[in-house]
Amino acid sequence: MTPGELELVARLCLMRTGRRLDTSVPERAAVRLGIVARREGYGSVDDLLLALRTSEAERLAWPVVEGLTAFERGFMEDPEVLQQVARRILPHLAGVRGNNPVRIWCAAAGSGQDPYSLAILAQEAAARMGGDLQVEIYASDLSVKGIERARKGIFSHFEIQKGLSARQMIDNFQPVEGGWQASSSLRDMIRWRRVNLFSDTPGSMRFDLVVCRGILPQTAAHVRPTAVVNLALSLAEDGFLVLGRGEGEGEADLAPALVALPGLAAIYARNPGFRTLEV
Amino acid sequence: MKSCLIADDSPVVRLMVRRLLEAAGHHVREAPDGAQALAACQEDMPDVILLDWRMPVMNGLEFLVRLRRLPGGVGPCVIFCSVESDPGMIGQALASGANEYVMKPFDREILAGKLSLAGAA
Repeated sequence: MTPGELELVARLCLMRTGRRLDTSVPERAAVRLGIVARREGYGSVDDLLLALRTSEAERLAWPVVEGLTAFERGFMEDPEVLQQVARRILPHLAGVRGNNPVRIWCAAAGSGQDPYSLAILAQEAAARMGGDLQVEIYASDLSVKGIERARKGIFSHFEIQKGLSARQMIDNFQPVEGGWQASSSLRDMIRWRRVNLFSDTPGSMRFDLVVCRGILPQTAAHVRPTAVVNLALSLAEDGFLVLGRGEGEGEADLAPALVALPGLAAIYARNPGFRTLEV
Repeated sequence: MKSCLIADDSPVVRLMVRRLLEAAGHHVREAPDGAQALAACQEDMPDVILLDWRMPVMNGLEFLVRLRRLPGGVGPCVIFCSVESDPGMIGQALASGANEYVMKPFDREILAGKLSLAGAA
């Protein structure tokens, strides 16, 4: 890829998603574009980029952006943060909500490891609590292809071994052709939808817990306040936001909408005074 | 630094796992079957054992059961490293005293993650 071509696709990602493409390793972008090229029926990345610049610009824009910004995560990433969620936040929310389910939104769900991890942790927490925890998990991503894949819940031999204990793996997944598939009970806990955090305003649903890890560091500075506001407005007034570890530290953009919770790493609450932008 | 024992009848696998463990700063010994692995444990109990399932003389499961009966044999963290991917067999390994289970093939990241999960990083 030439520097000009890299700049073209980076600009496309920024305009469509507000996310900065890491251009420090052009080979990574080229590999991802190669996958998009094959999927879209082009013989090479050069052919794909030529079409992107000419006749097929609109049709190819989203597939290219989705391919370049797709998340690759492991299961149970940042386990200390997730254990705080499982051991402190979920029991607290279950107590507050009573008979109503705890609503969780996993934004930027990528290939699905984060929402499935949350589902496993919620099931384990429910077992510890004698069943006194019901959760509804809503997972979203920018990529339609990613959502299609994540909904099936099939992970490769290598993916399934990253982050899950052997016990969690055999209790929640079964071997199928091409890897291991999440059990139907796990898949049934998660509802999927496409959301662009940059442009989609929060719907009417409010969540008790929003998990959004890995996005803010990639988000361009001028777009980050919008993304933060959208996340904050999607929270119930007594809800919690989980970011990736260190992602919120020193972030002036978080200040009006969110407050860090002392003693809980990477977990934020909605600022009680933050209502002004809500319609 | 942990003391590690690799019990596997494949010299290639032993070499690969040895490299991964030594790169992480661990001290490594090797055994080509369960019987020699048991003798190595009786001589000097390791902190971590990477254990193949199918080995000559004494298989991994039999080794594990005997290991846990040895004085100090409950101490080592045992991680099965096997081509077996049947959930029933994995469950049997865990029920027999394995701390974790890795399905072959695996890479450095998977092994490091399993060591961490098993508290042996």
